[in-house]
Amino acid sequence: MARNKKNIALLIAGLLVIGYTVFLVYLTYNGQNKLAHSKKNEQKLKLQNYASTLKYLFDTSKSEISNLSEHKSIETYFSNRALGMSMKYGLKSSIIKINNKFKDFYEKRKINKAPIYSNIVLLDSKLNIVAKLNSRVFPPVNHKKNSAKVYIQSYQTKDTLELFVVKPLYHKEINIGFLISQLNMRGILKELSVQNIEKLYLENSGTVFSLTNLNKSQKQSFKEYEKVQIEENTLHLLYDMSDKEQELFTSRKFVNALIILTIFLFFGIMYLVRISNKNIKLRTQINLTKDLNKELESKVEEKTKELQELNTYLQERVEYEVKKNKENERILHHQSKMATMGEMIGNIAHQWRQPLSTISTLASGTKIQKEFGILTEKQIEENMNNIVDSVNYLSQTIDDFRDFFKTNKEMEKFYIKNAYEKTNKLLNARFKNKNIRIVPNIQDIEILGFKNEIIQVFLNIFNNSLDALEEIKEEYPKLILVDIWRENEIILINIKDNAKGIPKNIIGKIFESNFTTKDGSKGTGIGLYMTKEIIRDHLKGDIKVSNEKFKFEDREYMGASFEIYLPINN
Amino acid sequence: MCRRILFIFILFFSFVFMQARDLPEVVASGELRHIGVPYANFVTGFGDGLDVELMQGFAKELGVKYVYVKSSWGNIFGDLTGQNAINDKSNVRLLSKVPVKGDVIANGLTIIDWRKKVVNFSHPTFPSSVWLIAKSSSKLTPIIPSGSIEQDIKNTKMKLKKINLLTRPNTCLDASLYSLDKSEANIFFHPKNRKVIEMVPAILNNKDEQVTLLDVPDALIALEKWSGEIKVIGPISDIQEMGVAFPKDSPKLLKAFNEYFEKIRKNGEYNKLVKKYYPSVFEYFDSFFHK
Repeated sequence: MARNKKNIALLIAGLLVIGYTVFLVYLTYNGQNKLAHSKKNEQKLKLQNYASTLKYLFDTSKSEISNLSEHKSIETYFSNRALGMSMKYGLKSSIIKINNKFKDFYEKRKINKAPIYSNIVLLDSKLNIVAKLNSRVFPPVNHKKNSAKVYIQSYQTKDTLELFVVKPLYHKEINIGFLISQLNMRGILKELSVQNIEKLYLENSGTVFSLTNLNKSQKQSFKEYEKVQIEENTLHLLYDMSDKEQELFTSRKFVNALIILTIFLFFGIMYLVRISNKNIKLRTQINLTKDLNKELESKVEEKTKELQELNTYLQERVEYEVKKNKENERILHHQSKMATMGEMIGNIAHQWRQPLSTISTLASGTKIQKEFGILTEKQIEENMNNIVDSVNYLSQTIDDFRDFFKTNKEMEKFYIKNAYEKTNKLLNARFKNKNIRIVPNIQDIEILGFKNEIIQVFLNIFNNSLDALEEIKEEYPKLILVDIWRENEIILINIKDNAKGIPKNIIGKIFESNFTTKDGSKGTGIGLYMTKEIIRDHLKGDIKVSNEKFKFEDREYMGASFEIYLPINN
Repeated sequence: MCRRILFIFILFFSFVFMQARDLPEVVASGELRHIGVPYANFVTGFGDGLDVELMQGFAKELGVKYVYVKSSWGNIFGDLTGQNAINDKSNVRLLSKVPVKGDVIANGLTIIDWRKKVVNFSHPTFPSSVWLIAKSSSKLTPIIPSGSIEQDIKNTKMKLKKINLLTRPNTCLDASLYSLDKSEANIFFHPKNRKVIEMVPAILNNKDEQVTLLDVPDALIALEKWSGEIKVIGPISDIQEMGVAFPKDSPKLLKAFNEYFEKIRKNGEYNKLVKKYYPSVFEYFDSFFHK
């Protein structure tokens, strides 16, 4: 409703403006017609005025040239010439006088700074030049009348008009020559500062010349003109009135401009109304958009909150998973240790079998010897000593295993050779049992680290080699070569066997968790994985495996080769 | 005693009047006395003229005051040298002694042989020639220039047969200078007390046919003054030259003038002066002024 009222108010205001403009157009049109009429009269008066000025100029010039023609030097020349005097004897002097007179006349006849005449020429009756002011061209004399009357002669070149004052010279009613002066019309008109000179034209025998520069012009282009005679029948002054309306400020163009303005106003108002309507629509849309924006903002806030909550939950979950992972790792570690322990138990069994058998044999031998009464004190002592040695051995074995299963909480300094020897001790029974020869080449290097972890590494690799060597059916010496040496701050450990190496398709996977080629009773898939973990994470070293051909005691073998790099100061 | 004083007085004045002055005396006296007879535009008689300005310039050059001494054709040489002289059949005849009044003669004085015996002439200062002038109504017709001055003179002289010729002895218009006294012309003398320029009104007013002589500078003025009333028939003389006259015993003054004259010729001052008084003379004697 408010919108409609606004539009109606706008329309009424627009119509009022248009009405006012139309009224202005009417007044202007009416006024300009009156003004044009008075302008025309004014132009006619101007034309008369300009014509009078030119007439006066021509009359004055004619009078001046007439007076000049009566100068004594001219008279003397023609007299002496008539008397037959020669140029050489006397006649020349009067010509010099004439020339001087011409110069004097030229200098003195000026309007402001512009000379009235641009050239003066004295001709004899045969039109030969007697004297001249300068070398400007002069027209052929158009003198057919037997009269000494001075007159204005026009001379049309191709494009321009020149005006001359011609005074025929007579002596005793006989024409003796002509005094001709060229009017400096361009200079004169410039000095006269004729207003609207661009609308004034000189008509000479039907041809029209612009008064601005006396160049030829096209009369046909004049729609309307006024004409006044200024020199007998030859020259007329024309005023071009065809463009009179252009001179008026309130011209038809102005009226047209007002009409165009009115049209523009009308369309402008219509456009404004449309714009106003569109504006209202736009505002409604903007308000809707604002509401939508608010809703979106609250949704965004809500979602942000949800995301934050989710984030918190995820963080907690990650922490939980990390914990769980660590726990898994711990379990895995534990499992690994358990597996090792399982293997250790096997080893213990191997280790114990011999002393237990010895104890059993000695005990049962002692018992039999006693039953047969052949048991001597010495025999008893010897048997008991042997049993004690075996028990001590068993006890030592237990200590060794117990040490291994102790958890090292802090790093300690130890010799790598010692760790190897301990491992060897644990596995010695198995090596012997399987007829496997260990070939150590070990530098005694002190290292800072977890001793049992190194032992576990050795155990895992040796067990791996043991298992592989067990598979070998060919009859050749089964070897495990152990090389440990130092390069700068790194300990390099190389353990290789001659069990023909690891198949190519699995060699890249052997350090992966749960990867094993052994049957369920032997392999857990944890050993080498844990070996890698211990070396990389705990000892800050690295381990690589490859198949290597090597020569030992003049025989060439092929087997898996583990290379371990350990920093001395972990 | 009184007789002795009178003798010394007369002797002193005699010296003063009789003795012409040379350069040191002129400079010592502080003035240059210019003897002139009003003639054409050389000495107009109104305080100016070509030779008046020439002498004024010379006096300024010497650093002395200029003084004009008016003279007449009859006494002009006496006023300079202390003794008058006339031409007597191409010989000089010395006349009575008179007081010296001036130091130089300059008024368009034509350099003529007999005059050279009386005075020393400077370098030529102006060219001239003598023309035969007749009334416009005269039956004599102007000659047609032949291209040769000698032939033109001959043709002009031929027209003088039984013609009354007005001349002026002891001037450049002296008939004997041009052997006209030996022609068949009837020679008349212009009165001494009349000006040369008055020879034209004389022939105009004469009822009978009469012609006269005029040198070119005068003729140019006359042709303008009596336009249509007189006409030039032709030349009587070859090119003549005018100069400034000095006493025979003033060689230093003459030398000083010649130096001054050559200086103003070279710097163009002299031609400016000539143009002022004789604007048309360049048309007739261009080679003289631009050599």
